[in-house]
Amino acid sequence: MNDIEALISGLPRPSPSEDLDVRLAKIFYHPTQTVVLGAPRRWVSVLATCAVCAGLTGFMLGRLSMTPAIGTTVTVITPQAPPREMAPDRNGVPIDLAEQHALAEFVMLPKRSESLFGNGPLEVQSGSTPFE
Amino acid sequence: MAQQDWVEEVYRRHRRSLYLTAWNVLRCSSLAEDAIHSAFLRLTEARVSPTDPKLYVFRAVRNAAIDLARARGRRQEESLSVGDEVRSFAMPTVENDCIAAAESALLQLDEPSREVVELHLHGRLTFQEIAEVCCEPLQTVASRYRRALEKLRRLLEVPHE
Repeated sequence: MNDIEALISGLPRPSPSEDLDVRLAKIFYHPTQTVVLGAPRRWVSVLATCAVCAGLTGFMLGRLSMTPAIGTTVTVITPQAPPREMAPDRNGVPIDLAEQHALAEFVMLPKRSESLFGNGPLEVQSGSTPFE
Repeated sequence: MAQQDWVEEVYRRHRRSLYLTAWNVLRCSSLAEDAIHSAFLRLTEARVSPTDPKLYVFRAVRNAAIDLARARGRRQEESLSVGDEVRSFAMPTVENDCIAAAESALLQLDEPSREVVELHLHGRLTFQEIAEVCCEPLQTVASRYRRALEKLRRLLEVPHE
């Protein structure tokens, strides 16, 4: 170490206070503080879970509260009817719409039907078969 | 709990050097302690096990000090605050003039050179460690230190040995 280094290293410099030791001791010996810092993240997950549960409950209650549609009809105009005369009473064919199934089919798998040839979905094939 | 053992161990062994590392950036005792506090808070939360804990902690403290300096804009006020801080613990002796001259010469160095000098002479870090902490090549740190001493010698007009 030369004279310049000796001079510079001899310059007075401050020292850490006891207060710093106390502050760091709190960090070292009280790790629960990290739990407190992680609390907001936990709150977000709790809120998200509550929102999902509320949504599912609302959806299920909505499904259950829907009564079967009785007498709901849609008028289909037959080709023979004149377009200007929109007379559903005379030319319309009433078709039942199963409304309770319309919404559920977006989120639920179609029911499997059981038949003589298995329990797969019923398919109607048109055309000639070898037996015809 | 074992996660925090090495952090505490590094602090216990290098308490003063860590403090001087932060002080060298901030030039303010209370801010240096705040930087160390914030660095150790992050270190205890982090789930890491560095290969060199000492350098990892030094780097964390230095980065925290730089962040704090940027946040508070202290670096612009450095030239005003340094003299007051240093004079406040300078002892009123006959050597005061020599100390004041050395402090003044040190302040005339550019910031990276002064940091190298302070970390080497007061922080007791080797050039290799300073290079790791400051993320600089070893040769750069060594040449910076050499040039800083030459400039200090010129400023203080100390004849060569």
